[in-house]
Amino acid sequence: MSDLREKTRLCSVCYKMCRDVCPVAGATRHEADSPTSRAFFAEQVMEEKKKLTLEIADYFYRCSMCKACREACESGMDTSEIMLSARSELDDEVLPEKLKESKRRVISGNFYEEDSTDVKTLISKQLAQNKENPLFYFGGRLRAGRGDTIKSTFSIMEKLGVDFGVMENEPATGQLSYFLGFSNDAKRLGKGFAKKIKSINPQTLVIFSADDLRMVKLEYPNLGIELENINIVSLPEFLFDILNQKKPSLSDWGAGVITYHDSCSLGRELRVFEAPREIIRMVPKANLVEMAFNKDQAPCCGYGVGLEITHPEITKLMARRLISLAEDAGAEVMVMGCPTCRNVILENLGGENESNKPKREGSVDILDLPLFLERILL
Amino acid sequence: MNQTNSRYQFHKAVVENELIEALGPGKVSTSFIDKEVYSRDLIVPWTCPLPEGDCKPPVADFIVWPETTEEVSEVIKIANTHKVPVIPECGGAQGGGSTLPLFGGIVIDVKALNKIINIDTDNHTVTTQPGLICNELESTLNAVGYTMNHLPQSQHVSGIGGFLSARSAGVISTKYGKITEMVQGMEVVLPNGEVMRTKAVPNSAAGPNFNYLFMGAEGTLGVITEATLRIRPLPETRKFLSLLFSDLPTAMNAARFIMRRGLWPAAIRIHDELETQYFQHQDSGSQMTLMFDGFEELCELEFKETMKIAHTLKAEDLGEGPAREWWEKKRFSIAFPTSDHPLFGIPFPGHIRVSGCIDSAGSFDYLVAVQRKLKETVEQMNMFLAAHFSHFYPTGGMIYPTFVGQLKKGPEAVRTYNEVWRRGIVLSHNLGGTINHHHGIGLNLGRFMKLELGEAGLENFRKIKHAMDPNNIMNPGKLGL
Repeated sequence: MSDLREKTRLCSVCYKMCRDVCPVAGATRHEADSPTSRAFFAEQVMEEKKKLTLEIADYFYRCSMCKACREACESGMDTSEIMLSARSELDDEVLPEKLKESKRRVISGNFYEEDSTDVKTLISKQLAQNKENPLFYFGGRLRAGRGDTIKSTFSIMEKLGVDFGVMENEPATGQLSYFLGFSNDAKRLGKGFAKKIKSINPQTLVIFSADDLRMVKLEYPNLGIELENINIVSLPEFLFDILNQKKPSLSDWGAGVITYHDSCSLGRELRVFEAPREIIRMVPKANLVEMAFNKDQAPCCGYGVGLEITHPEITKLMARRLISLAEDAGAEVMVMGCPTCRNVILENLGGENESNKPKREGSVDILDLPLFLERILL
Repeated sequence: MNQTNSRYQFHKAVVENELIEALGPGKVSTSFIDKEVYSRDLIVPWTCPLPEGDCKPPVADFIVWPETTEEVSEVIKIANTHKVPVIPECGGAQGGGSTLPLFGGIVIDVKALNKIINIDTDNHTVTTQPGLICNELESTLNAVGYTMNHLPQSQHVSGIGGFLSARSAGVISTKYGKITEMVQGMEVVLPNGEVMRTKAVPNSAAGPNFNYLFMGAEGTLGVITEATLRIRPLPETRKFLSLLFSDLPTAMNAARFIMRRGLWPAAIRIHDELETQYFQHQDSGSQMTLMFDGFEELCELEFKETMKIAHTLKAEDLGEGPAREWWEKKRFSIAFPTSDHPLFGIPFPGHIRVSGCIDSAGSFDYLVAVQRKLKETVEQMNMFLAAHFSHFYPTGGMIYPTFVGQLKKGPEAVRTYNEVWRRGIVLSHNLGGTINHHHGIGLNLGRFMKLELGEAGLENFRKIKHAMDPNNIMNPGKLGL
């Protein structure tokens, strides 16, 4: 803790060299949302120069946990680490109102509650039976949503001739609990997740949501949760391997200007940068362009592992900013490596109907990899 | 508005209501967190040894985020009606207190004015609102193959409006000039709320250039709400060169001869002997770092001509390594405060580490003279001074001398800190230099503006200020006004 204190103090008096890459500050334009300001208030509370008020406690949740600041910092300072530490110290009575309301659902591991009807029907046809087949883990957010990603996944796997399995009831990885500061609950949920996966014992586990994958691959080891002997892969890497093996014919649908959004967890945290880009490059005549902030500097879509729950108004601003960056790059299509990013964008920019496009003039078509592949696989 | 009586509270409520009516509730804040954040800049608490707990920085009353020129104008009209100070801010990375709300009032965060209005690649201009962080604008230009060539160390922090207001310089200003040389036209909301535009043309002889009235005014004469700036295609190539000279005067002569010859390296950086030793890891001498950019043949020619000069002055060719490393890895390095470099170590218990950059500009002769004298002055006060020279002109250049030391905490530390500045600035002035090249004046150097402008100059500046801003609402207490 003393090391974190000293780092926080130094960060709080820095020249803010990470400010342009902070997606929250970039979207709100508020100086309070710059990483240096976060460190400033954390240091003030830690050193008892300021009292922990409801306002300050709420402020500790205005961070998307994306770690872009760490990449920009010469000294590798990570203000999400400071915020996570602060969150874990907070009592229930000072939690942000929206988190108080939803804490029960967060720590239950069933935040998104019911699978959608369409998803239930699809899932029932593909329950895991053979451990030789890859096991697909969609996550609660995808299963409760519109179901188009899952439907596309089933469709492209059929076209590619790939067998796979799914779980009727998926246990939560605990990522939401963990990043919202409920580490004990996260550990409990993580153990449950590991137990269930071990009981199926697949050779390969494909985790669709980048934040679930980050939790399992990067945080479980710190929580003492093991998933040995199971090959855990990201969705883009899995699809890239399959496409390389099967070498299917691809149409040039969507040929035009395509950009790729690096999810925070897939990119910065898990270093999956090239596989999704290689998939896009496979499309005949596709022109892949990069957005102004990409790869290690890519902004969070707004999900922010819990930011969407505590500060949905910021999520909306972040989603809008990401679209603007794609538009500035001249993109007609933005492909997301993490389906959660796409859902966040659509749901926060008024695209919750069957359309794949958010309802904005001159907008960019937003697709995740399964939807993208469904359109181009012949 | 730093009063606590009931009449004041009533007045504050009136102003708040009017601001919300003009902008909407989402663009006005009186929250504790916002007020705290907008009431500090980099003068506090790191570089200035204010005794902790004894001297709290002043606090703003309202923070607003207007998104249009009209909204800025509304805010200023409200401020004028109620005689409330207005402090424009665009990054808050200034180290001299220029955005501190000394008398409370309204901080306008212009970062919400963040629209790029037009990128005109046929006529090589970009027209933009001022609230983009430099890197936001630069990245967007780069995506279409262009650059502003304004790349200061604070590229990731500071906004366009801040650059204009403080007459900023980027690291390749030797070839492309300061931000002031890049401006074609501007739009400014004046202290009475009226909107003034200067024509966005390559040049003009129609009276004084009013852009220069607002650039460097640090928000005391209005709020810049739009600017048209020159852009260029990204360079086809860059070429790097590092040279080691026997001492600083010889390196300075090399810069003199390069500029006299009519060569235009994008960057020339000379490190004094201490910087050469500590940061460039050479045993002795004075290192020069050069970067040429443009098309291949141009870079090659400038490189060859520079090498001839270097040969004449018996410089050692260090190759491209150190120069390329600076450009690719170190040009945004702040080495402070999180650095573990011995120059910036943790102070002794009960002490505080202080630093400051007494940057100035003058002739080639001035640059060497001021470095030598400043070093003596600072060392007499038990601190050390390391300098580099990173912006050159045909007639001279800029010195970036950083003093670093540690002082025992307490009121005496404040006096000592201020005394270093006083001696440094007076020395720069007496040797014929300007008191600041590109960091701005703000609060810290305001007391030296009489030296810079002379008595008549300052008096007439005050008259201009009074004529434009009779209620003195615009960033009061800055620039020595």
